[in-house]
Amino acid sequence: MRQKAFSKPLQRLLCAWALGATALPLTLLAQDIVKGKDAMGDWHKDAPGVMRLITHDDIVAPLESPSAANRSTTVSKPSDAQIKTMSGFKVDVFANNVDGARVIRQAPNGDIFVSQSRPGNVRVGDGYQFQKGKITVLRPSADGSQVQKLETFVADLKDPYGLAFYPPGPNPQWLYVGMQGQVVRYAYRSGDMKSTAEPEVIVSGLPVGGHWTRDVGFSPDGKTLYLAVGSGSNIAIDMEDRPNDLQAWEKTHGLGGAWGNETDRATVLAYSPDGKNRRVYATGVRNCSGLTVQPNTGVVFCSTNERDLLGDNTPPDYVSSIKEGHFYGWPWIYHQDHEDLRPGGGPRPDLKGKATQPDALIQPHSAPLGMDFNPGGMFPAEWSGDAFAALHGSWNRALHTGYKIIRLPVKANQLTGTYQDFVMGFTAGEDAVWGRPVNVRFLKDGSMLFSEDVNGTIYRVTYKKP
Amino acid sequence: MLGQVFSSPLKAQPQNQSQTQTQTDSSRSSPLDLHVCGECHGEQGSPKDKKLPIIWGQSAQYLEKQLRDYRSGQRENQIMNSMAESVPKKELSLFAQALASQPWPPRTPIEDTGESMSPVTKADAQTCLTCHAQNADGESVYKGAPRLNGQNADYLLDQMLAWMNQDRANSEVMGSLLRNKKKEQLQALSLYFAGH
Repeated sequence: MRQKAFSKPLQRLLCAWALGATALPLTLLAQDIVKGKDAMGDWHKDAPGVMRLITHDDIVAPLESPSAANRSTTVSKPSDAQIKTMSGFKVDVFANNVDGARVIRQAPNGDIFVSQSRPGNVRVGDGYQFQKGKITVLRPSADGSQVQKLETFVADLKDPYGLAFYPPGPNPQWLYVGMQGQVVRYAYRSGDMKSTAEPEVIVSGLPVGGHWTRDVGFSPDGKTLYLAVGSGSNIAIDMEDRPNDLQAWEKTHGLGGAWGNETDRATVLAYSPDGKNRRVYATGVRNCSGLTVQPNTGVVFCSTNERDLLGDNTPPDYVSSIKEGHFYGWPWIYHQDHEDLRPGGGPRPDLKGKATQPDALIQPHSAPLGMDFNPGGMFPAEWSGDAFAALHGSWNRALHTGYKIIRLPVKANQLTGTYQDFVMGFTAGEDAVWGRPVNVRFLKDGSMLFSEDVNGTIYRVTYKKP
Repeated sequence: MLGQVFSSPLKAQPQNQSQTQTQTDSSRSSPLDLHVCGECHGEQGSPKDKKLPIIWGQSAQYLEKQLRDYRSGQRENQIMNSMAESVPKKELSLFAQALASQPWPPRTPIEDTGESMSPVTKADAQTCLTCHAQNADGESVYKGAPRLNGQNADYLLDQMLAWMNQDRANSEVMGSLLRNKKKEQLQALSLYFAGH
């Protein structure tokens, strides 16, 4: 394992960058990987281009460091704050005042749909106006750089989050919306910016309380609707006694399927597009807040926040392929074979080693939310097919980490396990942040949008070969 | 910078505690103590972020109910859901009492905009006092009602808006009382109680 965070040439580059260069050369940095404990730094050590690798062997023991509560305070963008990214890339504001911006989806006609899950108390003049969730449509200008027209597609929703057009392809007829308690769909015709008909309820009775980000996605053939249902709690401490016949339980609810108040939570569920034929697709995924289907393979991927309160550096969050019938550990296990004894209902040592090891481990408490795959067309050709994820940033850590966009290289359709700091600069000192990245989405022109929910900004990242 | 953080008394205590617990009880430990609360709710009971509530000196019964509701997900907040879970169930009551026995922090006087003392506000406030007690310090009339007197105005307003919009729903009384209020009324009330 490397003993220092940065090699000499890299240090020199970082100094040059700190002294005024706005971006770092891409190729040189890509070869340098900080590993293991060195990869678990904090926002001070983030720099565009730094590659990180955390593996199963690097997972540290619980409470090796104390469990800190270090909630970031959120501020407006300081006048001297600057977004940092790599050489050749440009990050511009695409839309402002999109309060509580979360998931972004582009319709085939180019319109951009954004779920504003919890806009909250928006200051209007001298007073406040409380806004429930809504879905906003942004029509980009011809060059894609600005919003030409903005409309509210539908308002007054309870926690709208996941968005998916159906059927996949050039002519969708429906917009599916994952909300905390249900999945609904709105009739859609190309060019619609306002919903005119009542929604159709596709899935009802989803659990309410705890993790609420219900992301949705379709298989490329349109036959399967995937739905992420995060856990109700951090670590299921109040889960009731186990079912009498655990084998029978797992037949219906999946290997390692939680029970009691956590029944069928921390799962990815699968349905037919009409909401029928429900089944548990995968278990033990604590909160898949970025469910994305890899376009060329149809494989389901999740970006997931792992459990809290085990110290600064354990356990890693992850971005991973999620395979049908597999168990990813929550609540009893993390990362294949690390046992957590906190859940109610007694320990499950029988599950040790039965949990699937996720593909790419992200520094603990980074809080990856949205993810997407780069379709190519604008970013460097060697980055085609790579995954990108938005790290919402830590609270359960002495020093902040996350608060950035990362790139996760993909080789032969699989994550390599490494990731690279791509867009950052949202921290303002030890306590404050002025941006918390939530979702990333590539557009048809190959540029990338990402949302942040502190100041409600959507940014567009473009690339021109330097 | 690192040194500062780790040498603060806030961090020191959980560190020692967690080390012993790790040895005896692996990961089934409770790293949460009052110091941890203080990291957000203020080392001396006065939160830096005024959108967060003062919890020192708050009604024990109220605090215990909130901790239970955070545990069950009936009241929702990502950080508090995790935090409340880390207090063992049988210790929730003691924990709430320990917080309640701390002194309520000295009030920061806030500017009275005049609106907060309007006749409408006074009438509204009287309704609140039915349960929150005559001087709005909680406890004396309705045991589960929290102290409002001197609470952070931004927090009070946020909570009232959340009740109004049913984003907070862990008390039927509050939900029905606030359903038909106007935001200007709530803002005036929050200032009234914060500066009471």
